[in-house]
Amino acid sequence: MDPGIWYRQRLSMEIEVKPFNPKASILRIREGIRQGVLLVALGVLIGAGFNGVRPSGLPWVGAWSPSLITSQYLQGLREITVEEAWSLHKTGQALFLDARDPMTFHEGHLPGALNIPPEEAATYAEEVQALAEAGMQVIAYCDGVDCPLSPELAHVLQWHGVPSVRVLVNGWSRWREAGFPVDRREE
Amino acid sequence: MMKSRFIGWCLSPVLSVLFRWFLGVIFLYAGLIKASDPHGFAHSIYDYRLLLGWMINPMAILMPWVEILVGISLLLGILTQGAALVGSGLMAVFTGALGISLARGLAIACGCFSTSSTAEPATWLNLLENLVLLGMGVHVFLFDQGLFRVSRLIRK
Repeated sequence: MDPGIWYRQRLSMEIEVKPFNPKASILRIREGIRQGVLLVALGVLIGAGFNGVRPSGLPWVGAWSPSLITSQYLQGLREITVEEAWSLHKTGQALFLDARDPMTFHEGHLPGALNIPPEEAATYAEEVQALAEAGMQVIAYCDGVDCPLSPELAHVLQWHGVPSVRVLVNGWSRWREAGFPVDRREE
Repeated sequence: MMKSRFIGWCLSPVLSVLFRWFLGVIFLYAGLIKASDPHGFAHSIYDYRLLLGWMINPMAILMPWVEILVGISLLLGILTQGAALVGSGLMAVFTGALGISLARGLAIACGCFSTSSTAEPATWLNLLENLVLLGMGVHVFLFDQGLFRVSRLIRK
């Protein structure tokens, strides 16, 4: 049989345009809930089983606190305090790298900061390395106690050979809280 | 006339099948990505700051597999109504969580199709995408009539 005719026949057989029927809707909802419960239960069983046997399984109870997350991010990196960063900035030795997205950066950033989101770090690594070797202290920052962007940026830059990148944790908020000047977008 | 034809087309089970397959692929893909990196997914959940600490890991362990099963069910047309209902429920939860985060101004990665915390921050466009997917899920739940269901195809 011509596949086109077969297809049209199938469609005409299968499609039944039914008027709205409250009883049928209730049945549909009931059936949906029954099937849904079955699917979720099956998913829970498979997920739990798979997590139990896989070598990289996740513990059922995890420690999730901002300080712990930050310490995980900062492994292999050196932190810098906001006061140290300020005194380096005053002597013109600080190179601030803002790891946040460009839109947030343009709203306001630390004085003279360059906007380098982690995914663009490799592109700018050579330039940053030249400045670091000329005596500038590279300081990466983003916003939030457990913001992963600046540690990620610092890791990538160090991997590309930039010496001693330091991280100003929760930099944007702490810098403003300390009352130090910022560069803001001119309206 | 035109209006009733348009409404008929919108409520058509054929459209429902297309939505079912599309959602099936989306859920299967998203679930596999999350299941392959539970640590990353747990971190994505944590970034939303909506759940208590003890809820994060169980959610990261179990939810991807529910998504995978929903995806397979929708693709094959098995337990379709349940899959559409659970899928729509998941989309509603994701949309709500994303909306709250955007309203709070959190610049976090969506975690929808990637488990990297440093991926591009979620935008209102992601929220719109989620709403469209939610609409598709509701459509499948309400109007699917088992067209191209694997069990039927095998029987015939």
